[in-house]
Amino acid sequence: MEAAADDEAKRFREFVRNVRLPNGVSRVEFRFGEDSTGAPAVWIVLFARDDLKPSKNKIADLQRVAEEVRSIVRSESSRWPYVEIATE
Amino acid sequence: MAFHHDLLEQAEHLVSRERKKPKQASLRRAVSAAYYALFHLLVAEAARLLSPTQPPGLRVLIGRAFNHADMRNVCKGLIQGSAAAGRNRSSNDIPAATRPLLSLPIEPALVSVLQAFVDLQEARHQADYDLQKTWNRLDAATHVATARNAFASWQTVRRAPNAAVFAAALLLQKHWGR
Repeated sequence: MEAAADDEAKRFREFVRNVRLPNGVSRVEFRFGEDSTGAPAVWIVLFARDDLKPSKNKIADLQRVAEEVRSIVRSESSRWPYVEIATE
Repeated sequence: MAFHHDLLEQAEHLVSRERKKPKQASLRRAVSAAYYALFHLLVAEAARLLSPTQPPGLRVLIGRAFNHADMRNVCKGLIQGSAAAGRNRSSNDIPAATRPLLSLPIEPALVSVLQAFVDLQEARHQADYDLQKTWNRLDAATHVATARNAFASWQTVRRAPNAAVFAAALLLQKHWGR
């Protein structure tokens, strides 16, 4: 079960290997599960530097890369893609 | 100011309410308010489209008939169907009765509204019920910005025929297959 999840995560990482991450975003990870309706889902987790006063530009950059990754995931998987921003 | 605008303003206030360490309650309520802002915008717009101004109160009652889960299903189907049409694949995710009414693929601005609705509804669920999750300001602020962008996108597309089909489908699509 765990090995299957690892394989899936590896496959997803491969999908987004060529996506250019904006400044302040260090990596993308994937979390698999079901959403609140019970549908198969994947959370695209963007790891960003913590920011208590994010600028509009920073948020727009995050949304742009989120949309790019989401679009790739949607074309490659039947899981519904959601985006989450984790800070470090 | 309309209720949905007030909710969006409240979300923006809550997400930056504390100058330093944000309270979880503020971030969670910001995300929740951002979802409800978009929900009430779409309900108001669809109810306006579907009901006359007279008698007073009818439009409000029609607005109360909208259901969160049905609206999310409509959004998901249209997003998937439109994406498939964009790749020259079958748009079967859109129910047969709705499909011929639409010009596919759907306008990107409308797709961004649909996407925002699905995203924000899921985020609202996490914000209101998943107490194990710790929210950070950047994540919450991005959700609030998603709602703000969806408001702007809706303004650009609300008079398009596809937007009218979408607005009607939000309430009625589940009955069209009968």
